[in-house]
Amino acid sequence: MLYELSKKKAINDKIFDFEVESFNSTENVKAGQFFYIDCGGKSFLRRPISICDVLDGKLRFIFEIRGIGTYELSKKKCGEKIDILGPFGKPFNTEFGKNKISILIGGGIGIIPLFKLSKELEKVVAILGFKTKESIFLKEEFVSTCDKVIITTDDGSFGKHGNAFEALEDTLEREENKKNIGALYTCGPKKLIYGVAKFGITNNIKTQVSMEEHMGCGIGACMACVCDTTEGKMRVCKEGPVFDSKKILNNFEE
Amino acid sequence: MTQKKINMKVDIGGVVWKNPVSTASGVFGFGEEYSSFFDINALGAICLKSLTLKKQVGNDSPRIAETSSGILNSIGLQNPGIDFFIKHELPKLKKICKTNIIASIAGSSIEEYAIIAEMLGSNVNMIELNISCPNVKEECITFGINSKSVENITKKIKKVSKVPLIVKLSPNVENICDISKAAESGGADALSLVNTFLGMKIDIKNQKPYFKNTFAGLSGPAIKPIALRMVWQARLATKLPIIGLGGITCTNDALEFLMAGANAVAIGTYGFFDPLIWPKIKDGIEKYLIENNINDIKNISLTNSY
Ligand SMILES: Cc1cc2nc3c(=O)[nH]c(=O)nc-3n(C[C@H](O)[C@H](O)[C@H](O)COP(=O)(O)OP(=O)(O)OC[C@H]3O[C@@H](n4cnc5c(N)ncnc54)[C@H](O)[C@@H]3O)c2cc1C
Ligand SMILES: Cc1cc2nc3c(=O)[nH]c(=O)nc-3n(C[C@H](O)[C@H](O)[C@H](O)COP(=O)(O)O)c2cc1C
Ligand code: FES
Repeated sequence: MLYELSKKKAINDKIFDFEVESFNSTENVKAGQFFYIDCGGKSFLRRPISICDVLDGKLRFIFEIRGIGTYELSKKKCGEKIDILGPFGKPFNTEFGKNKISILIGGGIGIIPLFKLSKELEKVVAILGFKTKESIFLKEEFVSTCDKVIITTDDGSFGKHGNAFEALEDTLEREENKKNIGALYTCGPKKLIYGVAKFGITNNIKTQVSMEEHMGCGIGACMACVCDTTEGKMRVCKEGPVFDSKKILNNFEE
Repeated sequence: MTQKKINMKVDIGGVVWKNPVSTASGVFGFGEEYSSFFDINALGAICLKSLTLKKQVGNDSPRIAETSSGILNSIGLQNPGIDFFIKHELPKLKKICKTNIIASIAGSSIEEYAIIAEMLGSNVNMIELNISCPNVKEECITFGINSKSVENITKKIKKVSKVPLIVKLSPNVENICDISKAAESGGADALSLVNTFLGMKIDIKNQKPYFKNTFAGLSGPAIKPIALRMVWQARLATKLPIIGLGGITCTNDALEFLMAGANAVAIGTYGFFDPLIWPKIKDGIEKYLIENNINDIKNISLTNSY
């Protein structure tokens, strides 16, 4: 399916913000799902990129240059057509957050799928971790969709000094009535999502985690993208990328 | 203007395919996923993920890596086992699939292959013996690299199989002609070639092999010229129908295999990029025949005259 790149912005020299025109209905596109994108150039496989936002008929992606595929994608010009499949995968379950507070914990580019999620939920606290002040992005937009936004930086150059996980512990210590919290939703580096997953279980809070694995088909047919779960090896592209924390905890044990 | 009737039908070991296009084992699951992209009944056959006697958990991640014009995979035959397949997957598939179903089977002993073949009975249209998977530690691959063992396993499974038997050959062999002949004298009804080439990748950041199993299987356009050469050689060595595969990405690639003497083709890896590649190639072949005034697909092999 070809989509026209209608808007492109460089957030910094590594992170790009794309908007593409969708000819399909965007109603069924849900936070946590991903699109499978032909980046062009010498890349052979498509690249999975999360949906960041849906704006009247347009899809928004944000991605960081990591290797050849994302580099090629960053070179696309407005007006150019991009070959995109999807949306694929299971979205976040927003039922857990109904009438309660949802806490989103994201690290680095892991915050991207949480932005769309923040729009789908009711009462939202977002804890967003970055390396430095310079690497902060999407902050203002999260402020507009969330009840509260906590920013952390590893070097203390902005917001709280430390990482998003420490800020989560901190926030919950202060939250008198933990029962008000419907769920934790997390995406980001393995260490962060592991911490959050474990924390959710210890504190008896429903927790959903978005996983990453290298993919082949992207639709569940090749078994390339599996991660360990309590029910055996499951496909990140089909049963995931969002999993209940209880299912995937054994993924992180050394 | 009325269009001339073109024959796309091929006979693969006694089974009529309405056209010479199939899926490769392992990239197409059990058919369900891709059926939401196109009508799988448009294909001559579909070949399913290799089945083993017991459920296989497969290898630890990472399982896939991109290479120049291809991929390396180390899936390790993850599948739910033959019992589960027959009870749950096959009935689901049969509801949507009216074309030929090829069940691919793998095992760690001849007995295992035999039990699976017996269990399948005539519930599928063909059985493909995967004796060439490079991604499992067990014997699977060793059945496929030596002529004697190829002949032996083919003979034993042919005896118990209720449906025509395809033997899928490994390209990681000294002499593809000898192996092809061995499968033929073991009683194979058809051959398919090739499976993936043994390759590897090294993680230079962590200074160790990228895959837990060290080696992995190379597929995709990177292997096409070698796969094509092997199909050509196998064609000259045996009379058996051949399903040619390895790196096909478009109609022209498929035509090359058919001209090299393959009676049908299968596409694997490229489906990851283009989920519609199978019906596209089927239509493309038909168009080529019409445009070139060839009224029968059987007439495009070049190897007939060699
Ligand atoms: C469900 C999901 C959603 C994602 N959403 C986003 C997003 O919104 N924004 C963003 O910037 N990144 C996202 N990623 C990560 C992104 O897919 C990788 O950074 C990208 O594939 C790297 O490709 P490359 O060609 O630049 O890197 P290369 O290293 O050249 O890629 C080589 C191969 O490895 C794969 N690969 C490398 N890193 C990853 C990774 N972390 N995850 C999966 N495959 C990888 C590539 O897809 C490719 O097949 C997501 C990953 C997944 C699994
Ligand atoms: C991810 C993946 C999984 C595979 N699994 C199997 C398998 O289970 N059984 C089998 O016989 N071949 C398997 N193969 C090999 C393919 O069927 C095919 O022989 C090979 O990939 C070459 O064709 P291609 O280049 O079109 O993919 C697999 C290939 C890939 C890429
Ligand atoms: S990428 Fe093929 S099963 Fe997930």
